[in-house]
Amino acid sequence: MKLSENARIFCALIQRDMKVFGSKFKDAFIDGMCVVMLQVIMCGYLLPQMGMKPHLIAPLYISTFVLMLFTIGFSQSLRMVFDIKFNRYIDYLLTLPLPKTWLFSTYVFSFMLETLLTTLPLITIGILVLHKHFPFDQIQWFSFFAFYVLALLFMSVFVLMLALSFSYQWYMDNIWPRILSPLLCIGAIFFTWHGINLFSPRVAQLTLLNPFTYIAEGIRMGLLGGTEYLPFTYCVPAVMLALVVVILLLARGIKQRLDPV
Amino acid sequence: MKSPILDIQNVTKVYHDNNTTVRALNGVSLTIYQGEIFGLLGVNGAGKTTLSSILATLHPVTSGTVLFKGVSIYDDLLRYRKSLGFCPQKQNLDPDLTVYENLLFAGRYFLMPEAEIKERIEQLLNQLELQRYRDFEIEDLSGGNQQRVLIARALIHKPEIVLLDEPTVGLDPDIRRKLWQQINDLRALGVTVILTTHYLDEAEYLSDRVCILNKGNVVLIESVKDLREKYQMAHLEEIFLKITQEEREA
Repeated sequence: MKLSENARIFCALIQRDMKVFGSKFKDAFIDGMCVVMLQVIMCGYLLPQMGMKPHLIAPLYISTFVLMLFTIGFSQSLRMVFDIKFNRYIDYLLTLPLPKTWLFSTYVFSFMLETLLTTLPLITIGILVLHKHFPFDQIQWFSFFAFYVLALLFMSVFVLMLALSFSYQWYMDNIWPRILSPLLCIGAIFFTWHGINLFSPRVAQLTLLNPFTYIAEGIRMGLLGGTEYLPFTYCVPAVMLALVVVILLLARGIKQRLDPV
Repeated sequence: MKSPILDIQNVTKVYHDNNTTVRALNGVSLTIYQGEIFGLLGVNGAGKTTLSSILATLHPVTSGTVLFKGVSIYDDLLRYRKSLGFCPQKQNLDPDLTVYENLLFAGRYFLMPEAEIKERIEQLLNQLELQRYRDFEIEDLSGGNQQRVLIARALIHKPEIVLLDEPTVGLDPDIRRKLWQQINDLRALGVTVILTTHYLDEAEYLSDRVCILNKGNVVLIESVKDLREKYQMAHLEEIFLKITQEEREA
């Protein structure tokens, strides 16, 4: 009985989030379209003109996935930071007849749905524009989709953890230079892991500490196949391990910032 | 004799912040009866908001417990939350929804049938004079109307207990008076109201009993009538000032 009641409240909360998301979808789509088109122009046309080899176009374009996870995730995280600092709608949600684990799961699930609904159509458009560079017969659709859902889960928990772990001022001043930019730059996102390993094995080893390396490489493996990228047998356990760590940090952040019952 | 609805037993709350420890509540014990309006008074920092946030189950106690109809609220938290409506000090309505949608989703969160939610919303919009604002965004409402929507949201699921934390702060006198009337109407419906306020005229007008908190301790719990007789003073404000002065000197 409790389980079914919890599930119904969970669905009502998701319904609310999707209603709000629906009203903002047009703007989110246009914003995302800007990112995708810039990436298509840069990876598909500008960089090759400057000497980048054509076989790197598709793996580099896949960095768009991670870039969009960052931009959408940051905006979700920022919404949460603003709510905790100013509106405190979360306090109302914390007094609903719903266990806190379920409540925070609604945030994660909504973030995942929002990101999935925004990124998939946009990135598909980009892939279609750059179709010459994608080996459609080698795409592992099921593996790609399953891995992408895992990546979305990780990202959603990660941005929620960021929002709940730092004070408003610290977050506003320092989150990009100290956390997001290093994660975005010191990882195999704007280059492939094998590519950096050829250039500098030490730097390649360093990028293995970054969970977004595995996310980018896993997506490349799903969409491009072959032996040029880190295999799923590395990427899946690594993202899952990082997810466990982030869940523990999230639990600590919730306790410290909200002290809920 | 009314039966107890909430029994607060030796509740202590300690906060740790930047290497400092703040004892916000220091073994608070009191009983609140069904259907009464219970005023929680105190100067700033007395512990009123801490106590109301504990009763709203926003934060846990450090020690002690709270019984709802004889059972610890922590043993059946969800049952207690279903019986509670909470209006926090600062409005925290859903900024992305209209007035109507705020109430609609609040009803859904409490698993009310859809038809009942719609009927209840109409009833509350009429009762709280919010009909003309039903499709307004929250940010377009005045402070007084936001406060009324907050009260409507707290009442949507017909709770047995309503917790109002400083419900009239910053409102114009005429709007305050209207809200007082609406809070008074809750008593007629048998709802238990816990009213946290530092407006003594408000507490005097509305409360059946008042509790004065000072530095996290209960100083007294009496009916306003008994206090007037005991201190031979006409207004709660004079009595409050005398008591707080005595506390300072003690």
